[in-house]
Amino acid sequence: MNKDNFISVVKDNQNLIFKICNSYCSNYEDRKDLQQDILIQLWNSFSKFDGRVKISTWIYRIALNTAISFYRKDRKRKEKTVGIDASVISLPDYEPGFEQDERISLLYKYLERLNEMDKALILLVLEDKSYRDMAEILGISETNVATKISRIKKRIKEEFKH
Amino acid sequence: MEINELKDAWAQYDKKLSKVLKLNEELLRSVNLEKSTFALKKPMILELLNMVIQFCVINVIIALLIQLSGETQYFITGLIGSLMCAVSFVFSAVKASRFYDLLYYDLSVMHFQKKMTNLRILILRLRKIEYLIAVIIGITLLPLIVKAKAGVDLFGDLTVFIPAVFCVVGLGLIFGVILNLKVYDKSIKDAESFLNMIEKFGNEE
Repeated sequence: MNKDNFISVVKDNQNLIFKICNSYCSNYEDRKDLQQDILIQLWNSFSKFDGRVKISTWIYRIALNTAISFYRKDRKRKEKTVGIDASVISLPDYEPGFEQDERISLLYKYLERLNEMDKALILLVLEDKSYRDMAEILGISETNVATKISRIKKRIKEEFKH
Repeated sequence: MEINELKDAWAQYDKKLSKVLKLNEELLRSVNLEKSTFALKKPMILELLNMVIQFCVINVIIALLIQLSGETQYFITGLIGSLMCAVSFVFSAVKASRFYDLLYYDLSVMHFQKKMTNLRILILRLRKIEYLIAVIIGITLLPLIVKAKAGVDLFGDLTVFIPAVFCVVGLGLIFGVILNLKVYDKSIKDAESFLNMIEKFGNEE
């Protein structure tokens, strides 16, 4: 894959990458490093994409796998895989007109408290993925997805009742 | 709040992100992604490098053994040393092949994380043995090298050699126990509890 194609795929999926990074890292520096790791893994894997699964499933798998592995690494690690200091995908925090919904802030705080796998599942639920897609990305059965979602609904109702 | 309300809020957030999120194409274009890919493969490369080193050490031992042929005590220590290097070589080969098999793109999240965590546990367990192996290699190679390079026969005066070996082994054991308790055992326990969590996540129906 050439770089232009790669950049175009990243551009199409930048929201997804951004949201996954935000969900797994609350710290800006870590988020930036995770974003770089995801981009490198995507670059590394794209030539092997064979179309057996949907491209979005493929990207979710890579991004979530990288995020969970990153999250589980020694937090003290400072060694960078790429020597770039700036964020590749960035949100101009003080962009006029961009006000983050309070519900989203609460949601991110809630996600922070969850374990890595539950976090991945809730992200997919929020993204409105089908049971089949969720099962394919996470590697669990559709019945398992359904059971978990019904539990999540109750938990969320409880968590956000105020 | 119901899940559907949160989904709506998330969808609105996504729309907002689409408007404001910026991809620094110039930066992405300027990054040497091939070089970065190489950096991600570092653990596997280090294991391959270790295999090369172990192979060289085994050859050096064989050369020293040829030089000191006929001296039984050196033959035995050399043999033990080279066997330990061979074991270390096999460990590195196992780790390198498991790193090579670890494909981020081909596995679902649960299967990849299981594979990754099992590999982490394996590495930590092997490290505990490798530490012991390193001590044995050091002890067995020292008399061989000293004899071959300086002509000093450490086995000639066992009243010095045996206490020295005991000191090295004793210190090594103390350090090893601390290392195991403080680092490896803790990390293994952490990895095992993550593995249990993944398994539980996958088994719930």
